Amino acid sequence: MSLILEENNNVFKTKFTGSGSFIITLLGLALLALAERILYDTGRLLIAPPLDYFGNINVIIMHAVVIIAFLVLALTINVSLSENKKQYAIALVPYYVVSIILSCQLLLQISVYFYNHHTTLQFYVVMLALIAICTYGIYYIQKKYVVIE
Amino acid sequence: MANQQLVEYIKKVQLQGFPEVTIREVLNKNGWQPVDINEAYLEIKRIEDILQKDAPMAPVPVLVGQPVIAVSQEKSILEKAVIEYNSPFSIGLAIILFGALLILVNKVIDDSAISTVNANAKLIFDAMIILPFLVVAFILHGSFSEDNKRYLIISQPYFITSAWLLVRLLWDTSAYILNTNATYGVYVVLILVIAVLTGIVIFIQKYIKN
Repeated sequence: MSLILEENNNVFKTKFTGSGSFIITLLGLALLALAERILYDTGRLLIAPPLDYFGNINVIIMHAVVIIAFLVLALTINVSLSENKKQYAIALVPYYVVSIILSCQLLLQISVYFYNHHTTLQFYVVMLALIAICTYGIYYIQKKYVVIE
Repeated sequence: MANQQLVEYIKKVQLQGFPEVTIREVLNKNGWQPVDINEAYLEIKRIEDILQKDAPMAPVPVLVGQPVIAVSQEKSILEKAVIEYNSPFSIGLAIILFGALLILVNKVIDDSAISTVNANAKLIFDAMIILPFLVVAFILHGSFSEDNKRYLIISQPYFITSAWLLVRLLWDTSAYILNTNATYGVYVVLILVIAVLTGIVIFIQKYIKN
């Protein structure tokens, strides 16, 4: 049984067989479900009620900590492995995609909260951290990326 | 100075047997300037001359015949190879960066509306945030696009955000003009916007066009 139909230097352009696509999609969905459950539990157990994703700043801060850590971890592992061990890099792509989806969710939570509330210091801390990490992350990846194959 | 990546790339495809005409044509199509391509070829020739001087008795490799690959296939391979400046990982992060920047700067401008009672002061305050942001984003974008095309993706979210802010500033100013009698704030903002944009256009025409 093979997962890959045609390899490519760019892991995102690797062509999968039917069973390969199925397994990778399932992996992505399972990861998303797990991550959402972790976010739910951290908000429920560590933060005082109410558990409101869009109305409680402490819940949003806790989610920001978890999501940013996950993003940094997924990014670092993906980039380092995609260069050296391409056969394993395929399995890590869903982790990266899920970290991007969670970051979008975090942005949505922040937008909705601060649309309805006055800005606080936490807002600037979270946003500046996200911007700094993304900017440095892009620089780090592009520095290592081989432009011309 | 010749772009080393371009030099390496041309050497690589030359060894594969692609003719110079095809390589030049495809590189041109993909945004490489003729001056860069010429410099790269000169650099290759210079290296070859040095190698020949160092090893005069060494046999010169000769490529026999044409490559087996058809011309249309050659072009598609080269186009595919040259276009990919950005890693897919970077593209994902750039989307997040753009979203975060958009939310942050919009919030800063909204907050300025709360803290400033006077509409004139608000317009000028917005201009004082947006125009420097535009200038910095433009300088960042311009500096990367010249030599380091691979880093251009960093500046793109900042550049697009600054363009959006400029549109928003003009929109707010227009709304103010339509709803109230013109006062000094409108003039200050519009003159500043026009001055900055004129400066950017002149700068592009003078330094970047060629």
